[in-house]
Amino acid sequence: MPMIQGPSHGELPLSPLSPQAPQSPTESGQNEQMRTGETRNNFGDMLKEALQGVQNYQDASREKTEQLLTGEVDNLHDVFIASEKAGVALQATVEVRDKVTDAYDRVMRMTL
Amino acid sequence: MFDGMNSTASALTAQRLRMDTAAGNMANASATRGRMVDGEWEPYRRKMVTMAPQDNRASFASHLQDAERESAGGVQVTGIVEDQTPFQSMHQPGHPDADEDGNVQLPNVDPLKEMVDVMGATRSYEANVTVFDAHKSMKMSAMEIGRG
Repeated sequence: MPMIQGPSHGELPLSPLSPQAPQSPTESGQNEQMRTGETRNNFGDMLKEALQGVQNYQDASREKTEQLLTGEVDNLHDVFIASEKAGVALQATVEVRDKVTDAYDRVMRMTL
Repeated sequence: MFDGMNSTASALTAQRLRMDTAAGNMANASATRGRMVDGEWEPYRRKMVTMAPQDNRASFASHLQDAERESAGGVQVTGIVEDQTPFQSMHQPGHPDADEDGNVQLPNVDPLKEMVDVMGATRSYEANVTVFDAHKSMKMSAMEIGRG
């Protein structure tokens, strides 16, 4: 097979190992962590924000449903779209909660 | 998160308005007194809906945001225009709106065209509902990642 010859292997452009290369990502990673630490105080706040977003979708859906019942709505599909949005957002929240509790369970089951 | 769903919602609203317009046209297919022009009644003029892509790029900031997110916008109704084709004329002496020769001007509504518009609006609405369902099922499958 002429495709795999010895000399062709030697032509592969291999970058030499340098001690500086691994340092720079770690440095930038630390900066990244510090920056996110500044914008969002902690995990709890982030979770609260996300839950508030879901709550807003639920509120919008309830408002639309009330408008439908009182006959104030003129676009029927808006009611159902709002309800679907709320449903998807809630489902996503449930999925995240499942993941978090799963992670917690795994940690608790860890043999010491 | 719900950009696509909002686009679908705008399309549904637009198609519903198109259906309403067609319904109005059909209802007024023989309305000889649309509006008063120079003391004489003019028949109803057929109305049509014009649509355009939603333009939410008002400022530079939103321009940039749009370019960053590459989100497809929805549709918006730009207006309702009147069909300028000539009115139909029918010989009907004795009609309260007939002229000296006994001719009555009737609206330029063609029921055939209206039916085509009604079917188009219905099918388009259905298509957009299908898009919405597909969108939702896509989001739901995204949540299935990692469960298998």
